[in-house]
Amino acid sequence: MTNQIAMYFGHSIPENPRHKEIEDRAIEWGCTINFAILEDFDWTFTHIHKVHQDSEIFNMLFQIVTLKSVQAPQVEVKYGKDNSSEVPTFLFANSHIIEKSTNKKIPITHEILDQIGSEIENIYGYVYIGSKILNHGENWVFTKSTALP
Amino acid sequence: MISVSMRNELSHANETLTKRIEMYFGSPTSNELLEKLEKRAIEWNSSVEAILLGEFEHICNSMQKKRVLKYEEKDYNMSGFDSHCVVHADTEGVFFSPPVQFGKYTHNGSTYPKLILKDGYLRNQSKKKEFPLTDLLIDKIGIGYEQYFNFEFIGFKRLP
Repeated sequence: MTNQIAMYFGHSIPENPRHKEIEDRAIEWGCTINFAILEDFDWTFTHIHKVHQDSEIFNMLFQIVTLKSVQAPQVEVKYGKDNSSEVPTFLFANSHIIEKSTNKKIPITHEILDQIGSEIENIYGYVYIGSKILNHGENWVFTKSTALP
Repeated sequence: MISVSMRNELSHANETLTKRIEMYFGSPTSNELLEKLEKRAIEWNSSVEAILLGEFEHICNSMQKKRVLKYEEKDYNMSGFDSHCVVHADTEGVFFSPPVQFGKYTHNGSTYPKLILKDGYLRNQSKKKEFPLTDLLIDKIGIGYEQYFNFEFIGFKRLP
């Protein structure tokens, strides 16, 4: 049994080109900005980067922050369909990356997660809230009581 | 003793490596990204070409930002371009990319993005030019940038 990791993002950054796009979409669809952000996040990572098929973008992100050629864990784009969690979330299947040359497992630390989070924030414009290495069976859903390290 | 022909070869290689490198990119690699950017062009009342160049430049600017990264228990201040070079060059230890600039080029009447590398050397920790960027290595880095930027890597040229 391995530990999953949840990585949470918040609102879009006003200076990022995507922000205006998200605002325009919310007006066009007559929905809240928060919903438009969730949809945009899902579209970007599910349809453009296709993270459910391969983790290529995450391989690259982990490589540039660890400075090693590594394989990222499987990643899913998640958000709370029951409205209990309304923040864009990535769920990593486990808490290690694999160094390709040696096949060795490298534990994903909070330091690595924060660097990946800020890379995503810089490029895609969603504010990085934080990450949580989940205990076995722990729910990934982000609520007001979720404590982040 | 180095023979005359070997000396000529070395000086030719040296001359090649001092040239700047232009890495050429084309269109987005996925139709979904192209669709999204085309939609942005309509919403912003701008040309698709300007939006594509803007998106590429935005990623390039975020790659320029320095961050402190740990390698073998030591901290290094590195840009995204530096990190990519270390990973793709598979160097023993940390090396840094030559300075990189965003640029544009025109092909068949359309304008596309390019990256301009100051020369063909990775720098060591004392900022000395040390590790040569071979053609093979530039191709490898180009493919890495293609995946990261989501824009097709077309090829590169070394220019005086």
